[in-house]
Amino acid sequence: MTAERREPDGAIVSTQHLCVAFDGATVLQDVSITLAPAQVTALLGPNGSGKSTLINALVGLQPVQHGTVELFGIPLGRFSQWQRLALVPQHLPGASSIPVSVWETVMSARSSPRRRWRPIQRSERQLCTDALDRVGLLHRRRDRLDTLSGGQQRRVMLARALAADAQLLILDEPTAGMDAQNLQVFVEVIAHQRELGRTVLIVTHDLDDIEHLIDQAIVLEASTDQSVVFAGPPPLPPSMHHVAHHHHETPPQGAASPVVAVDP
Amino acid sequence: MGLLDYDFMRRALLAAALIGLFAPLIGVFLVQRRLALLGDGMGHVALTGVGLALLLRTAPIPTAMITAAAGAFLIEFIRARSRTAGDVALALLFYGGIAGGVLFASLAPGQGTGTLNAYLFGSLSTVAASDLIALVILCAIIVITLVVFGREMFAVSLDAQIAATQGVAVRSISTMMAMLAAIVVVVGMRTVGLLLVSAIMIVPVAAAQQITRSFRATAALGSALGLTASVLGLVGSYYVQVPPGPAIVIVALGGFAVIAVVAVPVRRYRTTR
Repeated sequence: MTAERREPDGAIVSTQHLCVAFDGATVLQDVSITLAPAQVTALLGPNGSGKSTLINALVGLQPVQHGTVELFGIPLGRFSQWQRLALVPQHLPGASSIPVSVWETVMSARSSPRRRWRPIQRSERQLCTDALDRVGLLHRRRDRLDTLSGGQQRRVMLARALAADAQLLILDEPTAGMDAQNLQVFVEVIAHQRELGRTVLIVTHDLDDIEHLIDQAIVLEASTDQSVVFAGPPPLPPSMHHVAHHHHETPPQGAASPVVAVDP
Repeated sequence: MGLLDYDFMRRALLAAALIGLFAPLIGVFLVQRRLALLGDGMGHVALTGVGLALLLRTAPIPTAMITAAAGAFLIEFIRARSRTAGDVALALLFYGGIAGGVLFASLAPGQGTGTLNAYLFGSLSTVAASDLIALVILCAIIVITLVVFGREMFAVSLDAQIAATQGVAVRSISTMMAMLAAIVVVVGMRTVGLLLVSAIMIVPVAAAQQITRSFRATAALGSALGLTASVLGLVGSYYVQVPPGPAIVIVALGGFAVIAVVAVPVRRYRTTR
């Protein structure tokens, strides 16, 4: 009977032959991946290769056509231990109709049907305080979220996910358009999560700053029989460098000079 | 003779205080979810309930409550189905609500348009003692729901997708919010009237958010402003002899204007601090 059970070493996330399509177009084809406990995984690939779609499929926000998703060894359809994962979305919170403070945003990570019937605990407030402190924005907790810069708002959303105190942290392009100072906070947070033995899945276009923290890299590509074209520890094969290191490519010969010509 | 010497006036004041206090607490969620006009439509749907009550000679508050609750379910169903076609479907529902209300009321024997006017714009004299009990029960439901589900409602208002990944039942919580709006509509039906009841949900919140920095503060200040506007408006309507609904809404809009003026130096102070 137990021969049927397939729990790959207590994988935190695993998919088998996952296929996702929307509006008739296949976005993900035959994706089988595994995130082991306490591993940091980078999910890479050009725009349109389905990185965000995969993330959404993993957390049940995107219907799946074929294949299976298991979270903590439980099929997604029966999964209910949502307190074990936290998601940092790709989009910024955006301008809000009603003022929402930084503190309220982080505190919203603690909203859950499980905690419906009891008041907010002191330990939960402490989690939120620690999370904001870790991203260096505790002093802004009373401010309106939309008065912060884009990079700072991303840090608040990261703190929000940290406040969930979850075993699995999923970050969808958290560093897009971020300056060096904000980026440094992210790198430190991921390093700390790794030390804590948390499992991290991070969608990114740029491995340069975090490559030393990555245990596994997964590269997706659009319109292939198998969306996953690479899965394993870094470094990536040279043919795939463009999906992870494009910010630091040397310009090809004959490209425009870095000195900007100014019309007289 | 002071206005508190009249039984009907005491009941009207209490009813107005209840709607002023609780409507903005629900309105703050509607505004955050960009559904400010939802309460408006809910009022239109409740009008059909009032028309039915007049026609069938049933009690108006329970009948309107059932119709508004059914409307809330329908609205959430339509919204969940489709975003673009949903817009038109909602418009159809709201037109139908008004038309049905006026139609049924006109068919009711012995009821003129005056009766319907009292429900459209509120009235000082129509709050019966039995109504008050119903209003208190409805307000108790609002308070209990907010205490238990308020945090999940906030999470859904902030970002429904993230809320879903926290295990929050987004559809159920959305429907719950629509139901609360339906309850507010019915609570405000007697004093503010069905055409303007959504204003008391929205205007105090819109006024408050000009100077607040958090959701909680917006809800609290909105509620205080709603209470003030309702009581002042009701008292004013007694002396000026106009329907209370428009009076309350004009006072609330006045509050919005005052805060708009005050907000400029307040913001300047905060940024230069």
